[in-house]
Amino acid sequence: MSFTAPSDPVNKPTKVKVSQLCELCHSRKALIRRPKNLSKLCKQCFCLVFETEIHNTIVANNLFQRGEKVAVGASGGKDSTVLAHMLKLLNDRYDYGIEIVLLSIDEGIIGYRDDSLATVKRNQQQYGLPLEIFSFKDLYDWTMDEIVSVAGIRNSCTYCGVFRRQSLDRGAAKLGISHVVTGHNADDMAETVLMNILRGDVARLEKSTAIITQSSGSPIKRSKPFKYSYQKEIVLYAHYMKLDYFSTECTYAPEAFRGTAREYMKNLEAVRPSCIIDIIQSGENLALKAKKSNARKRVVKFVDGNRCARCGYLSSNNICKACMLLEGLEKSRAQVAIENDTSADGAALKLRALEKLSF
Amino acid sequence: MECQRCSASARNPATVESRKEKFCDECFIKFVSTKQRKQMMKDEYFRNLFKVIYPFEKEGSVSKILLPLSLSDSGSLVMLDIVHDLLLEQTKQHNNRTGFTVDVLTVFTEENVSVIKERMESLINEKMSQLNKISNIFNVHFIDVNEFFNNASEVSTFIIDNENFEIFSKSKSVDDSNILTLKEILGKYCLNSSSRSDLISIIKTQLIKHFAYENGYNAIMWGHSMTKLSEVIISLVVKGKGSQIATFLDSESFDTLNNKPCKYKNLYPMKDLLSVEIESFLQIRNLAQFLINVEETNVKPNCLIARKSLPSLGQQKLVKNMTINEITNKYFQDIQNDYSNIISTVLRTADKLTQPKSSMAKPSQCQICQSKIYTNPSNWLNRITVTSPYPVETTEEKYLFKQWQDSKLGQSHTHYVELLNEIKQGASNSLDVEDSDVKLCYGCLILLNTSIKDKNLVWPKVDTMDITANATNKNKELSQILDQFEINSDGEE
Repeated sequence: MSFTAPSDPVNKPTKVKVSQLCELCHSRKALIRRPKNLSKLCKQCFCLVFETEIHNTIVANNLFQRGEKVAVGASGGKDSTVLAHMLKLLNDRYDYGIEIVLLSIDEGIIGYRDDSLATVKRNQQQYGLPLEIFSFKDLYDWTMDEIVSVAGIRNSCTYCGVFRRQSLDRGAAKLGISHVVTGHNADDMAETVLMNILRGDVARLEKSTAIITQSSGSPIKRSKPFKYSYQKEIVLYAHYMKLDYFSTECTYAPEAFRGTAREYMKNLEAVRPSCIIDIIQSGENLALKAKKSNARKRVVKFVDGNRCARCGYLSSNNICKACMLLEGLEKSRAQVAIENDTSADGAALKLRALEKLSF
Repeated sequence: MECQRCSASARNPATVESRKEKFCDECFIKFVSTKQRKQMMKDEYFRNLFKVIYPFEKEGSVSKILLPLSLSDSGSLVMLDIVHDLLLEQTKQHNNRTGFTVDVLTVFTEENVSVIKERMESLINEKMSQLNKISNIFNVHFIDVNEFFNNASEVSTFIIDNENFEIFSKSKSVDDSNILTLKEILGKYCLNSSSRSDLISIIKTQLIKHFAYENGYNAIMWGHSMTKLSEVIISLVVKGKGSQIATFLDSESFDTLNNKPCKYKNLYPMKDLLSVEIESFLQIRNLAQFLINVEETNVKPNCLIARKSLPSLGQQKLVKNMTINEITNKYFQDIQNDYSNIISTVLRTADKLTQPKSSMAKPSQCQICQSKIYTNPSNWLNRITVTSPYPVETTEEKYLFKQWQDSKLGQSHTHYVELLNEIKQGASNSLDVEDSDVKLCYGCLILLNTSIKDKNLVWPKVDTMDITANATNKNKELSQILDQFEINSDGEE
């Protein structure tokens, strides 16, 4: 009786059907359906295509200048982690000649931001990039947990949004950096275009799709290299590249109206996956009629580069939005406080835990 | 509950509640009619169109208005009812004279031709008989949707290069063997309901505009309500046609068709009215009986106080089977309770838009939807999408690639490549691929690229089209149908 070697269950070659092959290279097994156009791609083609598209966006819009110091707004979430990885990768591959710094803002949300900042610190080690952290507490003497205990959970995004935007600029200015790069993706941008139309925010309508935003009075410009990158593709890329990111959503409630727009876009994507870039295309082509001048009406003209009378930060009004919000907060601050009181810490976290309780 | 609009001495019981106000039937009809008439008198051009001008015999004193009527949409039916009342009023006040004549145009398909005929007959006999006796004030026309294909002497095949999104086209003349039909186009090319509905909408709009152009009308009165307009605006944004919003809403300039200036302006007289108000009007005036496919139309719970029952919505569609417009409509319905003013905000915002600056070397028009092109869509898409693969490296990968090439899948791909090459070759002989030769707008390019089978579509060449002149000669069957359905001013067939 001749000996038959047992089959090797581990190294057994798998047969790939022709219909399973990648639609671009036709030579490797497709692993994903690309969210942008539903084409079936293999891992190598997907990663190459994703990286090259971002490189093309950077080059076509002339985002970086050689020798420029660039701060990446790093929150530890998927977008900013992929952004930091991508900029380092592309900078090495295509030699942009830029210096990358990670810039994080600690809003003071216990149970959320402390964990995500730990991720940023790990990223710093992994990518070998310098990291700077600025906190709301240092800049404004308020943490988000304290703000929520005073102003309520419904307004959390208003305060957080205004303060974070300003903190990034202040942080960059302190480090002598004039360019902040953020991980806003195509989904965020499409959502904003829709919301500006739905809310009638005419002032922001034309500018909502700009890849670079800069005010003549500010030395700091912002850019969004992920303008055309789908959120789902960012997540897939992070997954395939095994990137270390923090995936928990903010413990405070998301803005309710944005939630409705997000749900609407999810439904649209089921019918036409390209709708996200289609909305951005539309957004780029929205132009406003010239305003009819009304001699009788006293028009307060918006001056680009106007500064806040209190803090000196850029503001379209006499006093900037952050100072106005701070003034309101100070009025509501408790006159007497218990020493070492931690009751406000992690308020959102506790609320979330309570919500999940069942009897 | 009493009507808040009646005089204090004789308040009728309220039947409708809208915009936080209570109305009786009569006051509500007045409210809706006034809103419409206000739009009809919005500027000097339209005021002169609709009012009776003396001396009456002067040439051009009676203007010609085209009113596209869709019996599956309550907006245009309610608009017709109000216009009918206005015409009756004018005949009474001015000794059977009116400031304008109305031509109602209904586009029909093979499937709904008999039901349209029946409903139109009863509508004319029951509601419009009084006006119909006065000659030439009120006429009804029918157009077969296939006229769009029958009357073009040439058709173009558009194909998208899947590597660089370049659009290529090839034209050929039409003979009896290759006349297209709507059924064929929808069945052969469309991959989903959204693309089908987009193409139908383009065809119907083009037919109506061609009819208006060729018959020298002064205005087209579209029956879009505020809700419908907002739905269209947001859907245009979603379809990548945001640049067309300003032109779509423009009622100040004369329209252009295939680069030719037209004598008509587009008017949306129902733009101040919500769809729920139109539905209520429909119920009060008992007009719903003339509608077709009511269960398929978006009849929403209305604001009638006593008579809450309306035709049922039918079975709710799954989201993936809905069109983009239907999803948008559903979104508005869902958020209307929490954000009540959103519909008017969308329309108000869209009214502030103008045409964007064009980056094209020469003015171009989309050869499918006829809208103006402002940026080269292929270049834009090419800039943000990479289609080159990761190189084939290992022996196994090379083996799999060979297998793919030899397979049916590879062959069908070869077929697409062959078609593309054939059209490309034809194009390079006659045309340079320059900005001036951009053939489709971004929205239609995306439609072809994502929702049309094999990324190619055959479409009639609009500049070779003549909707009315030779229509009856070309197609005997059609002429018979027209004879059968055209209702003359005496209301006889």
